[in-house]
Amino acid sequence: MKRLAGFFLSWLIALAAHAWEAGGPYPFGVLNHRSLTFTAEYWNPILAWVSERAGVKLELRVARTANETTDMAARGELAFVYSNHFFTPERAKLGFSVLARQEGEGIKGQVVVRDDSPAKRLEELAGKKVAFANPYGFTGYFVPYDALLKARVKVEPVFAGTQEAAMGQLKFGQVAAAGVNSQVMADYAQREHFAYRVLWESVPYFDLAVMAHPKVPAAHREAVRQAFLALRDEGSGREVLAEAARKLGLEQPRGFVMASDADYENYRRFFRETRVPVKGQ
Amino acid sequence: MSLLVRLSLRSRLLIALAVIGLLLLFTGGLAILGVAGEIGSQVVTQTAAREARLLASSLVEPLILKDYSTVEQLMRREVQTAEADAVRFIGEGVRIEAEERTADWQRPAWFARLLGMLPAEAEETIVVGGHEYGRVIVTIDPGFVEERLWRMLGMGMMIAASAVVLLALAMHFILRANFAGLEAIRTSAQRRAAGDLSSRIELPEHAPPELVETAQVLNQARDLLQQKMDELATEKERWRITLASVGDGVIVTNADGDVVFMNPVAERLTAWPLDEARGKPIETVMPLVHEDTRAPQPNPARVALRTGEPQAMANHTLLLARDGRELPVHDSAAIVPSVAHDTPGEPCGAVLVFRDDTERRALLRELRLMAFHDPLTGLPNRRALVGRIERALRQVTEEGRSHVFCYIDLDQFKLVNDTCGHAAGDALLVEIVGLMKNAVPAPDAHGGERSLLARIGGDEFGLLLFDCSLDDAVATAKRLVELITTHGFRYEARQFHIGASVGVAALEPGMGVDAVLGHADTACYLAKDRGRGRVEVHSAAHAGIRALDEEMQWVARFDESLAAHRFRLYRQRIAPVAAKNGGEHYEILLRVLDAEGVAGPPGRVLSAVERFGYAHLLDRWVFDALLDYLARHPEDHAHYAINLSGGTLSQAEFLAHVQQRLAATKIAPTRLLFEITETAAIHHLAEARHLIATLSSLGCRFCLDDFGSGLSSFAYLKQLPVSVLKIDGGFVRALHEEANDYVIVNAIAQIGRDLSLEVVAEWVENQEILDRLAEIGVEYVQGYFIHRPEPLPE
Repeated sequence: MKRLAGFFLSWLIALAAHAWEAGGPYPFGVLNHRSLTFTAEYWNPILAWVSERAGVKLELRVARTANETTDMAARGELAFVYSNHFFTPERAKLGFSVLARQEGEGIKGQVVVRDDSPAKRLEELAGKKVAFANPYGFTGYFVPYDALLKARVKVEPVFAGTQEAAMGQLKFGQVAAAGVNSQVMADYAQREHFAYRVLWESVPYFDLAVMAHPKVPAAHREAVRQAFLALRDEGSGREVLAEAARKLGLEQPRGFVMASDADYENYRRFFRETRVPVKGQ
Repeated sequence: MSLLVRLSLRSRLLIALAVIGLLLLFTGGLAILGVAGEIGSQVVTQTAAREARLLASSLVEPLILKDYSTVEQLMRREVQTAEADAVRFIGEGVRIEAEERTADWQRPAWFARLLGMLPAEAEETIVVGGHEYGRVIVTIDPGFVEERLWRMLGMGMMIAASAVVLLALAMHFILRANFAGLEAIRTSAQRRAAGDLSSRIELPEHAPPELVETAQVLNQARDLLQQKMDELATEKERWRITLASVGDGVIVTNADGDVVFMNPVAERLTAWPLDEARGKPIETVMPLVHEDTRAPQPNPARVALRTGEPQAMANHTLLLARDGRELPVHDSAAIVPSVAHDTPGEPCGAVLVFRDDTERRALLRELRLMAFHDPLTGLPNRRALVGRIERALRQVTEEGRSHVFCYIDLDQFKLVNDTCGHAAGDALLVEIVGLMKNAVPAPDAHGGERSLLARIGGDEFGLLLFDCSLDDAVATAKRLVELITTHGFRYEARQFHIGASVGVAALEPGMGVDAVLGHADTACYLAKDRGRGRVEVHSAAHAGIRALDEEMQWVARFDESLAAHRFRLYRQRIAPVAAKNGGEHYEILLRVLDAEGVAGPPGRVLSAVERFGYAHLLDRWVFDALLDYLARHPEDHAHYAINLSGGTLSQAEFLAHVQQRLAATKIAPTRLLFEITETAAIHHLAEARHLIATLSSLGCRFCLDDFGSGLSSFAYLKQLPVSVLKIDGGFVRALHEEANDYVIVNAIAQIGRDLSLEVVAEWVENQEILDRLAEIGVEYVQGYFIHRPEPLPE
């Protein structure tokens, strides 16, 4: 009976997930790195410009947490995502393909402490609380936690929900350290005037990618890719990027550049080698 | 309106304040409600907008998540917990509404209408990052604001009512505290209006400065008024006592002439008590009549009131007192000018001052009487006599009538006066006058005047006989002399025989009064000179009269003789009968050079100068001349005797002159012997005793000269402290022939011895007399037989 109910529920979900396929705006999911409001304030202008530029209506969709957002995408409720959660072995099967990525050198996973923390090495974090964004976060969980595990430092993970939530717990002394995205950390520290110190840092990985569900028509995918790439090339696009950066307190607006699935191979390799359990993801 | 008029000032203020307070409360309440309505409307509008904003912000994330269930829950919570009454959300294809039932407000509907507030609606669009998620519309009913305002109004009314009550209480106490001073002023003013000036205004502490200043001014005015009243009372008492003390009667009337005041003297004189007289016309209280005609006289007070001028009453006025007395009065009246500010200077009454003139008028009569009468005898005095003689002379001259004047001088009157005192002398005069009055011619049957007996002075009388011949006058005079001589006057068991000498002079045309008096006086002097008790008629052919006239001529030439050094001093030695070693003694004698320069006895010169009062001048000259001689002749150590006349004895200056000269010349007073006659001493007994006593104390001696020829009264001898008796020469000259003289001289000598007096006999002209005197035992002798007078050596 339960199985029947589960099947029926899955059917309903599948039916619902494919609702955007019948027309209407494409749900564009954004990984929750920030609060809902900041996320909406950053992405709504960009999506509005891209929709206008691409001729494809995009609609921001976020869940309450990054996990829930990823789960929404996993359920097919999102046509586009801006995420790096889909390079794990399980989610790679969903078929999301990379269209573009945010410009920049890429991001790194870091284990950071407050600048006034006595800890100088990872080993000094043993037995202490370390905040992470969520169990799905790459640089916000997998990369730094993998480093702790490989360093044989056993800590007590604390999932704050988002990267900035984890940084907030570190700032206000709730945890001894945090595993963070180096870029998000730098942005947060600049905006909040927070002094921190890096205990460990990973190799760089490209930041989140704009990915499209395999059922999104190729023309729409391409149109959306081009529109994202045009953001930094066109004046109005740059204005949108600048306004979005200003709202988040970023020094420089970040546009989007061309990317493909190959650019994220190091993600896939990490997941193959990591000691962090990734089963089911 | 009448109720308002009767309200006190404090009540009026309280009512006015209450009305103003209520008006302010009412208008203020209306204004406040109007403002409160506007503010309330703004509050409702602002609240709606605020609620819309808050709700919109709370709906952002649910809308991003498309969590419309949460949206609906938040909207329902809004209408349940906040002020919003209805909330609507309108999104793209979504409409959600939430509404709450209107509460049951307690505020009345009229209050809501009065506030005029309307429901407010606010709309807020939810946009994030440029994406519009929808609109929120919030509707708020103003009921909650109205309810709060209604409660505030209730509370405000309670506060206002409490404030009004507190304000009323405060105003009550403030007014009571401040009006206490006003009440004190009013109470004091009422007392003062009732005549109580003693009350001073005592203000409570912290009285307003206006009242303090007012009270000070009123108290100063009260003090000034009290001071004036005290001064007025003092002045009134002073005048009352003054008027009660003055000897004159004082009546004060009002402007109508009615009596308002009388002093005790006026009450006594009019016999009207003030209480009865007050208000009666002045003529009733003080009726006046003419003392002769009895005609009513206008009262001076009435006249003064009518004329406005001071009035004096005539001297002939009589006051008819109420008790029947008729009093001569002397009075005056003056008006009392008003000092009232509205009638200044106008008569408001009169003051009548009068006195009982009885004594004054009697005194005047008496003075008039005294002016022409002798108070002792009641006879006309010299002044009256002179006036009558003047009239008589005019009658003689003009009418040819014959009048005769007699000058009567009593003999021995002085003896009575000196020995028995003035009372005896006065009694004698009264008796003698009584005799004479009966003896002089009485008025004729028609009352015609026939004689006038007057007292000229002392013991001298004048008798003017009218229409009388000289012979009849002499007869009358003799009758008077006879009566007086035969009348024996007794006084205190002593018997005196008084005589009189009369000089008669006829009044002749052209004569003056002095001539009449002089003629009669001369004739009287002659009568005295001829032995007293006589009557002599003045006649130019009379030998005695001529002699007297010569004496007068001598006297007239006396000063001339002194100036011409026609007097010379001679001396005659006084020798002791038995040989004695007492030095030489001389009597200074006066000689007069005649026209040929031959010295002769002074003779009648002495009697003339003595009769006419120049003797003291001659005595003084003699004394000075002797002392000059003694001063020039220090080799002369003799004692000298100088005669002093009666007139000299009465000259106090002579005594001082002797003392001064003796001190100046340093002549020993013991070398001087002053001889005074018994007669002279008797006439000036007191002065003689003083002179003798004073000069005796210096060492001078005194001799009673011509002893035996005068009264020979041993009483005088006793009273006069002399050391020498000089027997009158009249007894000595025929001593050897007359047995009586011998007896008298012997008796005098014996008295001298018994009284330890030295006795000198003068006029010793032969040896027989000297022998007899030696027999008798007289110690000193003087006379031509002893030594003929010789001039003092130059």
